[in-house]
Parts: sequence; C-alpha cells; structure tokens
Amino acid sequence: MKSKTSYFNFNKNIFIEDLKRLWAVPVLYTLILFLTNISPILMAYNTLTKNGYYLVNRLLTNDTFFSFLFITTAPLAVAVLIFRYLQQTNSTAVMHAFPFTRKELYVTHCICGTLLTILPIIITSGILLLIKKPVYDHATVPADIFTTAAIMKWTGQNLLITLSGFSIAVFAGIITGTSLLHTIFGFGFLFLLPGIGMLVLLYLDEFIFGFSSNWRINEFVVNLSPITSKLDGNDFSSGNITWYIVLTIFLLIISYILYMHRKLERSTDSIAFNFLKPLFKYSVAFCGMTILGMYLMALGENRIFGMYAGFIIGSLVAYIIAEMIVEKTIWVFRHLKGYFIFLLMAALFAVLIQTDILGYERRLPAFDKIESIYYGGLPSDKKEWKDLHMLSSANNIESSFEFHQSIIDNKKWLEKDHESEIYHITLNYFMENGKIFTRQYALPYEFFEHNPYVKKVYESDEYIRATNPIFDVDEKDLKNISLDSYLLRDRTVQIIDPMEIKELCQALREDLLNERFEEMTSKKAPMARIDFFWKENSELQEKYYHAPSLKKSYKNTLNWLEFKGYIDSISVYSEDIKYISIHRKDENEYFIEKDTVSPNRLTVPESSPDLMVITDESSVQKILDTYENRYYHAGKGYMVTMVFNNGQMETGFYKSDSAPQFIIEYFR
Amino acid sequence: MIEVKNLHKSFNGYPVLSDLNLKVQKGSIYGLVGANGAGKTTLIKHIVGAYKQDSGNILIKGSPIFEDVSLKSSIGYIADDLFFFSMYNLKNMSAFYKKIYPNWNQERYKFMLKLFKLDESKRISKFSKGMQKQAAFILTMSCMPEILVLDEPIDGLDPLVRKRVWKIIIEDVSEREMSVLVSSHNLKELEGICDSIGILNNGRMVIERELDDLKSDISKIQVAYNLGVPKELQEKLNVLHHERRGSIDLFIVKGNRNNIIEMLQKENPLILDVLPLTLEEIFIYELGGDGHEIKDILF
Repeated sequence: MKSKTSYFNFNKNIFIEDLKRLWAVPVLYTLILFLTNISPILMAYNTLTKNGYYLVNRLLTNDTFFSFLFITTAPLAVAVLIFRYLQQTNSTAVMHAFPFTRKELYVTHCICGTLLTILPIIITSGILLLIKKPVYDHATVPADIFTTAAIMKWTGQNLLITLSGFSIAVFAGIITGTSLLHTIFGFGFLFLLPGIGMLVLLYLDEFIFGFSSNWRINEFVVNLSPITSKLDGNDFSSGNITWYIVLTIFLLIISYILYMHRKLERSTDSIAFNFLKPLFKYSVAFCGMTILGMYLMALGENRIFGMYAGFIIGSLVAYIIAEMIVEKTIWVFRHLKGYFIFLLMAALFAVLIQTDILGYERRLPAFDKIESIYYGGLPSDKKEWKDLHMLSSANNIESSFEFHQSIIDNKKWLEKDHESEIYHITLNYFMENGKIFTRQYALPYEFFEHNPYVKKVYESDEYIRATNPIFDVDEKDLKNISLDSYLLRDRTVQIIDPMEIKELCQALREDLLNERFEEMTSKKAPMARIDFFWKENSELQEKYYHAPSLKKSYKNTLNWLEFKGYIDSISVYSEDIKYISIHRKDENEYFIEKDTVSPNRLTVPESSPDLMVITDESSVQKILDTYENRYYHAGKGYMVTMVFNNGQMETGFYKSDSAPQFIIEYFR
Repeated sequence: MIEVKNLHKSFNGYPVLSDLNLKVQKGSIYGLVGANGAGKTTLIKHIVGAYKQDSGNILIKGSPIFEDVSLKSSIGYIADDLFFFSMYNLKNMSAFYKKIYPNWNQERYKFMLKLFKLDESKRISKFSKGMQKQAAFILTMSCMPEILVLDEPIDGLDPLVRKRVWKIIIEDVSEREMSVLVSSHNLKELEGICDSIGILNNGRMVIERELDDLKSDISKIQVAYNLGVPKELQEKLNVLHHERRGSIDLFIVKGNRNNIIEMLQKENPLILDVLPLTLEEIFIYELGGDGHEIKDILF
C-alpha cells in the first residue's frame, strides 16, 4: 500500500519533481546575490568600519543594478518554468492525466515556487547577519548602519518584492497560453497598476478644472506596486506592506480560481480566458490612445486637434496590435467591432468628464467646517506641516473662499488661451475633520492681479506674516545682511552692526506690512537683493536666507538706508549709464542684445527708426525708475538695453502700454 | 469500464464533440476510428480526465473521472503527442511513475526494457520518435493499468515492434481483463484486434458495433447459376449489395449465414463461394447505399 503523499493538497511527488527540475534557478540567484551584495562587502571587509558607509548603504538599499534586476526576474523565471506545462498542448494533457488533482498541481507548484524564490534571499540575509560589523556614517551623527535591523529591513523588503512579483507572474501564467506572453505579461504587470494610475492622472490633470496630481496622489500611485515604489526610492510604509501582502494573497487566490476553471485546450492561445480578451484589448487601446494623444498635444501647434487625432490613431493602432496578439494573426481587420465599442466608451467617458457629473469642478468645501487655508504645495514630509503658516482668520478664509468661487465662476474664460503669463495657485483647505481639500489652478496673470479677493488676502497682516519668513527671524541669530544692486555688481552694502541689523529688519517688516497688492504684483524691477546670513553657531540648518527684494516702493527701508548713508552705495544713477538703447520687439521675435549695442559696446550707437538711443539724464533716470523685469515678458513690447560706464550691460523691458510716453511716441 | 454519455464540447463556440456516446466493456478492445480532425484526441483527453466537458458524463468504473485521483491512477494513457520532462532519462521518468502509480511493476519494467532494447540512461528527448513511443509504452504498461488509452499508438513504429506491442496488450487483456481504447485514422490498422469499433465523424459517433455480431451477420457470397439468379431467391434474401461480373453474381447479404447458404444451394448453383469480408466492407455495406459517406470518412 502506498503512503499518502498529499496533505492539504500539497503533493510531495510534484514538489520533488519541481525541485529536481528547477534547482538551478535559485542556485544561480543565490550566486548572483552573493556576488552583488556580499562579495563587495567581504572584499572591503578590513576597512569597512571606517570607509564602508557608502558601499554597505548602497547594498542594503538594493541600489545595484544587478541585484535589482534579479529580484524582479528570478520570481518571473521560476513561475514561467514551473507553469510551462500549461502552455503546451502535449504537456498540459499528460500532466493533467497523471493521478493529480488540479488543486494539488497548483498548490504544490506555488509552494515550491515561493520557496525557490525566497530561499536565496534568506540565505543571503543569513550571511549578511554573520558578517555584519559596525559601519559608521561619519557625514552626519555617527551611527552604525550595518545592523541586524537594517539587514532585516533589506530581507523584508526583498521578500515582499519577490513574493508579490511571484504572485503577479503566477497570475500572468494562468491567464495566458504561451510562455512568451507569460514572460511579457509577468514583467509588464509589475508596472500595470502604477502605469494605469499615471495615465488616468494625466487625463484628470488635463481635463478636470482644479485637479492637479500633487505628490500625495503621485506617491499613492507609485506605491501601488512594490517594484515602482522601490525604483522611486521609497521605504515601505506599514500601509504599503499590508497592501503588498493583500495583493499577493489576492492574486494567488484569483489565480487558483482561474486555474480550476481554465480550459486546458486553451494552451497556445494568447489569452486563456475569453472574458479577459476585451479587457486586454481595451487596456492596450487605452494606453496607445493616451500616449499618442498626449504626445501630439504637447508637440503640436493645434493642441486640441493634435490630441483628438492622437487619441483616435493611437487607440486604433494599439487595438489592432492587441487584436493581432489575441488572434495570433495579422489578418484582423474584419474583427474591429470591439474597437467601436471602445470608442463609444471613451466618448462616454469624455462626456462624463466634460459635464463634471460628479460635481468635482464646482465643489467647494463646507465653509463653516474650514479650519485653515494654505496657499501653495504641501511638503512631502508630513512633519514639516506644522511649520506651515496657515491662514485661519475669518476674513482670510472668507476672501479665499470668494476667490475660489470667482475662479469656478470664470472657468470658461480662464480655460481660453491668454496672452499673459500663467500663475499657478494651489489652495489647500484644512477641514475640522482632519481632511484636506485641495485644488490647483493655472490662472492668467491678468485675472489674478485684478481679483479683489486676492487683494484682500494678500494685503492682510496674517498673509504677509505667513508668507514672509522675515517675520520669524530673530535678529540676534543674524551675522550680517547684505544688499546687492541688481544692476551694478560693485553696488553692495554689508550691514553687520547688530543694532543696524535690527533696525533694517524692522524697517523691512513695516514696508512689507504696508505694501499694497498693486505693488506686490507690480513688475517694476526692484533695486537690490537682500540676503540674511546666520551666525555660525546658530541652530538653523540653512546658511542664509534670500529675503524679499528691496523695491523702490519700500519707503521706510529706503529712508533708513538714506539716514544711515548707505543708499548711495546700492543705488544706480543716470550718471552711471553711458546710454540706453530701446528696441521695439514683435510678438515672437527672439531678442539678441548685440543687435542693440555697438560692437565695442561703449561707443554710443546711432538712433534709427528701429533703435532709440537715449543719453539725456532725465530720460535715463525715468527709465531707471520704471523699467520692468525682462523675464516677465514674452510678448510684444520694448527691449531696454542699459550700457554702463564700466562696460557692464543689463536688459529690461516695457510692455506696449507700460512704457513711458516718450518711448511710445518715438516708435509711432 | 468506460462510459461516455451525451458528451458535448466546443472550442471557442465551435462544437467539436456533440451528443457523443461510447461504451467500452471490461476486458475488451475498442477501436475509435475517424479522419483527422474528427475529434478522437479531444474525446480521449476527456476520457483520461484532462479536459472538462461542457455537458454530459464521462464515467470510469461508474464514476466521473474529472479530478478523481484514484480513477486516474488506474488509467494508462499514451498520447499522440508525447511528453516527458525535459532533461529526464527513462530511469528518472520511471522513478517518477513508480511514485505516482500505485500498481507500478518494477519487474515488468525491467523485462520490457530488455525486450525493447532501450538505453535507460539516455535522455528521452534524444530518442527517435519511435523510440519515444516505445518508452511511453514501457512506462505505461509497467503501471499495470486497468484501462489503457492509446491515441494513434502505432504511428512511427516498425511492424516488428508494432506486433510486439499488440502482443503484450492482448496478453494483458486476456490475463487481467484490461480494457483498451485505441484510436486510429485507419480502419485497416485495427483489423483483427478490436472487439468493438466506433466511427467518429465531425464530433459525432456515426456508428458503434461489436465486430463478432457484424461478422456473423454479413456475408459476401459469389454464385453462378445457369440461367442467372432466380428472381424469387433475390427477393427472399436481404441483399445489401449486388454486382454482376460476367456470369457470376456477387452478393453482400445480411442474415444468418447458414440459412442463406442453404437457400442458395437449393437452386443448384454452378459456383458458390463465401468470401472474406474486410472491416471496411462491413462498415460500408452496414451503412447502406453505395457507402459514399463512410468512404469519405475513412479512406
């Protein structure tokens, strides 16, 4: 009588046969892990404690190409080999005619495959534990990084990646009928969830007004697969670990159910289950549609036409390719009925987005549940959130809310093409229940600069204090403040006297608090940049802080500088200028300075209908007081080239309507 | 032993087997005949428990075969398209069979290995197609199966080996009442071996007969009378086919052979011979008409 060989559907005989056939894979894998992760440590073993930080850290974070490659391919290789019998007509019939149940075959193969893929990692981990010794990172606070905990973390992460990779590869094997597609799908599925997530985000970013894929959503999408998460350099959070375990178990169970229902005659078919065929074809068509559509949109002059052309061509080509793969023939042109169903679904989806059926675009948070508001992107490290300066005054919440409402009300107008530059604004509402309501908009500057609600917010004490770090600066920590003219390199002042530092800070704060919205948004070029330098022993990490520029409207500060006699050291006057040349610039003209100055620069060029040359003192001073920053303007206007007596040259700009009258008249 | 009832199976919506019935008695040899693509291999893969039917029943010893390990271990199956684990030699393969088939007979394995003169330690994939068939036969027969299922078994075997194979099978049938189902696309190959024959066409069983009944029931007789065959005699006989070759008449007649000969003798024939009938002829005439239909299927 034979002894019983099957317990809980585990069959010893199948298991031993699997081991006999596949032992080479884990041996090779172990060898590679040894070569990539252990031998470098052993080779540098004597000097490891002193110099090994970089090496050990790199190995323990899988930062080597080969170890990463094998962590992804070894489970796939095992799954492809172990389930190869399913993909051939002769082996599938014979294997299933043997006295085994399908359950036994599946369960035993999975157990064996799991063991074969995790064994190399466990062996490597064991060796690492044996050879570990203190390795210090001397760059920061000395701490041992080659610890049991670090090795366990390495082991755990790799086990997770390997096991989920194996379950994905098993799933791929059960749903396909050829080993080639098994390999391709097994690899592709590692990136499937994050890939589709990213594509969906592309659509939402592009088509939903107010939606922006911030780092929180991106990170969520990237972490959907352990491989992409690792590639992104993330550590696995406990939530992610749970998700990967659930995903692994789920895929193994789903694969089990599918195996039980798999029709064996489907071996050598591309897709072994009929219900998956349309899913496969539509997914491929969706990817093709998105990639070509978004590419042509980004590329072309005519964005909308390019996008729709790309959508249709991309999805059609991708669908045909998918159909060819499924049917294993290139003659598929009679079978494109499914493509029209896809188009119909895509159109329906587009209509859903356009009509904002879920009300996403129109939605505002419940006004009375708002705790505070933050303008701008949130830092990825949640610990830093507490340092954010939120707006929580009732006035600001109300004005921000009204501002948001005005954006929503003007959606149609805002989405048109505008000449002025685009101003990106992110509104984060922190709600009483701890949730965050976020919207991001790209607003034409003209909308922004004339918005009465923004004016209210921007002029409020709370906002000014929140957005200008100078209000948090303790003057006692400062070593010096330096003021540097934007025009002439030798115009610079260093304030080092503690009393003067305090007074200057005070004056700047007053100017900031009194600044009008129109001045904040004015494009007039500021006078000087201001940098704060901290004392060496200060606890602050940053070495210096780039404060707001000194504007010509900062009366208090300018008065103080004048009173202290510093003003002349940073001011530029008309006598510093040799000449100024003005050139009228067309919409798309690419401006080159050398066209507006003489070859040896200091010789004053002659005026011409295209070039206005200014040397008289009052006009020069007028321009110095009013010229605008060049980088604000891309469109039509006047390029201003200032040549100084010392040969230095700077450029500025006027918009067609902001230039002084005498310039406009000259070119008329 | 094997009973297939109302089996239906379709591949991608196209019916491959429809309303198929088949019965193999214990200790008998059943020949399954059909042209390429008739559905023989598909039917066999159902019988060995690999494929799952869309509807109908496949019973081995009265129980459904699908997923029944003990029933599967009583079946020996030699596929048309053979499969062995790559890298394995016959010795490795036999070790595997020994573990999974409870009735494995090591002495028989050794005996057959000698008989067929195969190298046990050579990789099976290096064998020729005929040698691989022999290897599969050795392995399968050493499992001492109660039921043997052979899919186109003699393809690639030389006549000597073929004879040896059949000898062993027939011995097992008579000694231990092994039941055999064997498929072939050629009726001639099964001549003199099978107890029953089933003919499969387009996934349907066209005809299923016990050969003993058939052979004693149909006779091929040539007679010659001075004045031709008397009309009343022709009317009395159940003539399936009649042919005139000069003065000789050739009859294929259904009915008790002795009675028929007696009737013909009464009219004093000049010649009266009972000729041997081939299986082909039996089926052609049994199906009636000129037998075009069956000719298209088989020849």
